[in-house]
Amino acid sequence: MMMKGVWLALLLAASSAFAAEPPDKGTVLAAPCAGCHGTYGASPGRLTPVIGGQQQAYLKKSMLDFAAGKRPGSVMANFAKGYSEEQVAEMSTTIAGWKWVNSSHAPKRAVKKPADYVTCAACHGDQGYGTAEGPRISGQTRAYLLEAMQEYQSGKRDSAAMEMFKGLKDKELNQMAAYYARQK
Amino acid sequence: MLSRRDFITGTTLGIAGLACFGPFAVSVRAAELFPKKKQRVVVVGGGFGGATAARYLKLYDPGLEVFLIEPLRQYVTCPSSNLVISGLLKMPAITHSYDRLARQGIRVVQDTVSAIDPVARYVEISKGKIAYDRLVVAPGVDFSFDLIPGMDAAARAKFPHAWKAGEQTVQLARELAALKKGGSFLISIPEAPFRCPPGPYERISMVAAFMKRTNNRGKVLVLDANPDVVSKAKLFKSAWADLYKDIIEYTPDVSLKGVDAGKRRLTTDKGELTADIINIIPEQKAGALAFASGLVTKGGRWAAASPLTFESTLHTGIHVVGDAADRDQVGSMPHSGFVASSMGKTVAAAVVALLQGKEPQLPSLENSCYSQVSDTESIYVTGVFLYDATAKKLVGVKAAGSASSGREARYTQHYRDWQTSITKDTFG
Ligand SMILES: Cc1cc2nc3c(=O)[nH]c(=O)nc-3n(C[C@H](O)[C@H](O)[C@H](O)COP(=O)(O)OP(=O)(O)OC[C@H]3O[C@@H](n4cnc5c(N)ncnc54)[C@H](O)[C@@H]3O)c2cc1C
Ligand code: HEC
Ligand code: HEC
Repeated sequence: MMMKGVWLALLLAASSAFAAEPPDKGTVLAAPCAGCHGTYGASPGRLTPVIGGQQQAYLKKSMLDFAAGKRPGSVMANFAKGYSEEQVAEMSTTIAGWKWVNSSHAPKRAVKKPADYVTCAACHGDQGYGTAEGPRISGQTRAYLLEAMQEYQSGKRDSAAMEMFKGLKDKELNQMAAYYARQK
Repeated sequence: MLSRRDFITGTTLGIAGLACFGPFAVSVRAAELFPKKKQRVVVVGGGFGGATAARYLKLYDPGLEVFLIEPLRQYVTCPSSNLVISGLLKMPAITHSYDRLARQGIRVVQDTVSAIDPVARYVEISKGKIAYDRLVVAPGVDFSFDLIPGMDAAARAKFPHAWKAGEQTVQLARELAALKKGGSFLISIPEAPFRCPPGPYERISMVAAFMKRTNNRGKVLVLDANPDVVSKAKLFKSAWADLYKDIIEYTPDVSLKGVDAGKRRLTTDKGELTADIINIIPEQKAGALAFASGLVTKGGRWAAASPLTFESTLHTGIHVVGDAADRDQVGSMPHSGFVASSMGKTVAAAVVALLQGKEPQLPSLENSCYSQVSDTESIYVTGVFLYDATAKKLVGVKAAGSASSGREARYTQHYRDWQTSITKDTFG
């Protein structure tokens, strides 16, 4: 009897594993993003950022900022206007649930740790994996990191938390971009 | 809100498997090549639409048997093929094999589907038949050569379209590289709709960029059947005015009346002309298989399909994705690789749900088309397409569908990233 019950449970488990649940709303909404950001958000590109596994709150905020014109964007300034806030929340949850895959566009050789590494950790986490306060930056594409930091530096992208970047020099930004792109 | 019925109406007509007798009729004797062990989806055509559908079917439900039937061993992308013609990229950069899809559990069969039996649910290839539970058909486009008098085999060889990338891309690239000083490149553009609305204008820009780069004092002669540049008109025209003023001669509203391969001469309603290189893009329609298997309504040009699941409105159990699907029915998306890919994912999600007797999610599509206009700069246009219950089709969200405000080198990097990303997404 006992054995039979176990077998039945195993069979049930097997048959439900057999047919995967059909994709949910967030998955369908986020599917076309892979056209530029890579399958499951693992961008293979040099400049287009990795989004799979990024912090959910940050993904959502980014989309809403793009849509509102608060954050400069090219194609994203358009796409973000295509969805309701609810749809943005759904796709952000899906994308945040994907596995982060480090960009291959990182320097080959070791990069010296930038001087202000510690302050970054306060918001971006010890290893740069991101927190509820700030996005993941380790393993992001190098060219994108530089571009993002230059946007804070020039004031094109407005963020109280990143205000200190206004005083930094390109050389420092370059080193930080190289360093975090290599951080795994 | 949508009811369950919205998903099935229109697909109930489709019992008429008899529509496809004739040369394409399925022979009764054909043997099943791969006895079915689980639920099976067969995908016909390994372009952006079909290959993406196959890949996402397997990602969404690894338990499915997924077949991909495609005659070519390697797929050459039309996207970025204009850059190859210009000499900025080489063929390997746009050539992809199906090996990685095969390694991801998709059964890739190198063959052509000659017939579909929508009632018994199987397709026929050269060696026999393959049964399916659901079928995805993505044959792309074919050309209406017959609409151009004189467009015989000789003319087709001399005046390539290169509107399916491959040998003809190489032919145009070679002819351009060998163009004599002061030589001319003529391009004839058909009336819209055609595959890739900005495509011809990117090609014009890239040929002109070659002429400028090599300083060969050549000319690009454009015969456009349309009243104006069909896509991103302002951006293309300002690039031409700024960069290629003495190179591009653009004439709108020209109708091509006939060609003479022997004399290398074209007749138009505005007179006769010739050129050193002649590139004629004929009008397009759904790939031949769509016509042969009764997926096109009588007198139509594209395959009839529902906007919700892209299931054929003529035959149940068959979904149409990519360029072949009728835009009047499914929605206002351009015929692009990005849209084909987006449709492939939509169908994959819908088919997984339908096979389990569940209701599919509403479709959500995106498009973006980058076009390179000089050796360094590019432009783009985007779109988001969502289901509109009043229009009963997919409709572009206005605010999300606009072109770039100018041309930038940064967008060229995004274009390269897109090419890398979407081909990895499609071919694994
Ligand atoms: C010059 C040019 C530039 C372009 N640039 C872009 C761009 O930058 N961005 C973009 O998004 N789009 C672009 N496009 C458009 C894009 O190429 C098409 O929209 C896209 O290829 C459509 O995909 P598809 O799967 O419908 O068809 P296809 O890609 O044509 O694939 C169809 C496949 O089906 C196969 N097939 C046909 N019949 C059968 C059969 N009976 N049995 C088995 N297999 C069969 C064919 O061999 C083919 O491989 C461009 C097009 C051109 C011409
Ligand atoms: C046509 C290419 C393309 C498509 C499609 C696309 N993106 Fe983007 N994405 C970009 C580019 C390029 C950037 C950099 C900002 C810009 O220039 O718009 C970016 C930036 C982003 C960012 C900011 C990342 C960061 O670290 O700050 C997010 C979030 C994002 N995209 C989400 C999405 C989502 C969600 C989708 C699908 C609904 C999507 N993208 C579709 C190209 C694309
Ligand atoms: C006080 C908190 C805080 C500190 C300290 C901080 N950041 Fe940030 N950072 C943020 C927030 C919040 C954002 C997102 C802001 C927005 O929405 O634009 C951000 C964004 C970024 C981005 C852009 C990420 C993307 O995907 O676009 C980079 C790169 C970055 N930070 C690097 C750094 C580095 C390097 C340091 C240390 C020198 C640092 N930050 C210190 C809070 C902080």
